[in-house]
Amino acid sequence: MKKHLTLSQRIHNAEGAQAAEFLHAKHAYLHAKAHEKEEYSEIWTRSEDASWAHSFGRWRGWKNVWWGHVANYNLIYLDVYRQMYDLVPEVAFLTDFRSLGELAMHSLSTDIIEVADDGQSARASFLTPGVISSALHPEMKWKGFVLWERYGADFVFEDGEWKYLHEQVCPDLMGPFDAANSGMDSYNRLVNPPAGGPPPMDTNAKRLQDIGPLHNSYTTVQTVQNTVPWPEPYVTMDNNNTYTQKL
Amino acid sequence: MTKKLSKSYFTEDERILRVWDIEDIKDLMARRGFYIASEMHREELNDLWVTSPEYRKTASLGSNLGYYVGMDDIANYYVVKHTEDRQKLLDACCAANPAVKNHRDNLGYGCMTFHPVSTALVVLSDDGHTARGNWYVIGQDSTWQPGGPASCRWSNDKLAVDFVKENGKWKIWHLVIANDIQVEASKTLNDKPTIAPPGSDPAEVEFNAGDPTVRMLTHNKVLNWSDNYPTEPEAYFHFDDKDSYGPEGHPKYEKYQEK
Repeated sequence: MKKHLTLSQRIHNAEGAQAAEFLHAKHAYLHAKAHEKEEYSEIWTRSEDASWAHSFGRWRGWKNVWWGHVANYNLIYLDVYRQMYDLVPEVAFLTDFRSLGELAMHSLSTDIIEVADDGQSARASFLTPGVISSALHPEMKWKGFVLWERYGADFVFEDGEWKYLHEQVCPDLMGPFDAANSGMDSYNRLVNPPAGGPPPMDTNAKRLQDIGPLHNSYTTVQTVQNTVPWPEPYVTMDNNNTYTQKL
Repeated sequence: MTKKLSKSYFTEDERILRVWDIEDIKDLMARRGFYIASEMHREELNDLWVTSPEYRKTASLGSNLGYYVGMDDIANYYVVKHTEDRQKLLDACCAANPAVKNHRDNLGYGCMTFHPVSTALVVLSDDGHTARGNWYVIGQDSTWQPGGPASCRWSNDKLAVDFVKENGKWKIWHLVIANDIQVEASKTLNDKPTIAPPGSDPAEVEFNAGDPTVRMLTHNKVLNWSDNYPTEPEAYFHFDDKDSYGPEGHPKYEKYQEK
């Protein structure tokens, strides 16, 4: 209990804690149907301080985050729409092609949320046992994966509203839905690497501001990476209390 | 939060009560998960759902294939039919194993249903009388099978719920269970054909067997979430049927009525 805060401040911060949870959930549901445009227009700050990070790196500034998410994702999903158009007649009647790409069900649990004493920011971390699935593929079979990740997110109180400021996604484990032994798969990749290895990532094409890797997925030969440590009580957002340090 | 809420209209007392209301609603949905896991369908309807005649009449329980409307229809499906199904299983179980007593206390013998909720997204109306929310369920349904091994299915849903405050307590008014995945455990989803043969989806067979009040395709999981139903709640002032998770809130309900 932060008794050094006034009752008004504590009420404001209680609302902030709920807003952090709400905004991350809103992100999860909008992302699940690939409504990236709505997400980055409605619930994010448009500040140059906005950032979104994944294993491969980080976009800094709202315009770059928009480019990475909205522009890129829409092209991917438009391609799925084109492929499926002839195979599943119902697709032709959809009003929004974007959700055809996949259903990314990043379920949120294990919330740890802190609101700054100054009431101007909030920080949250989550663990997610997620599932990514889609029935629509040219081979006309479902595809499904489990995806276990951890998230670190910062939020800012801006013009009387809570907004998303930073997001860092740390994928730890991914494998086929219900038929995976991800640890064994990881071991097998180590002892018997696929010929040629994975294709190198074109970081230039991604136009990242911070080039990764920022987080490595689980393998049998590394220690746990606490890339987005849970937030501790804090007074104000600074480089010690953020998921994106200012350069 | 996506629209500006009229927070400045509220006193501090009202604001903290609104915070508490949202926590109460999350608590209510967590309790529902435990009721389901404990095979307490009847108790769930009695304890967690609306009780006043005005709301009982319009309460609804929806799925991908339609809605049961009114607490009587909901109870006939969710309690009576469920109990009958469990009794049939128990009869078969007792026939196979005389050590099991055919007694009501053994209903649900060999069954387990876990539908834990996560990813709460709750919006409280500005007037404070109603609320709306979404949750994810990454759940499993395990059922003893007569003469064979148990059937264990993964079942992933999105829940969409309208709540109303009755005598100071939040109650479930409309609930939609939009299913996205039904797959037998240990069978990879990646072998499942996109277009399932009619009658092969256990969740749909089970829902239809109870004869829903409103029979309509509400959510086609083959198209992922392209139908955008049920969609996330937005900030609102006052409850409106047309924006609800009852049948009237479905974008194709008018077409259904015309038919």
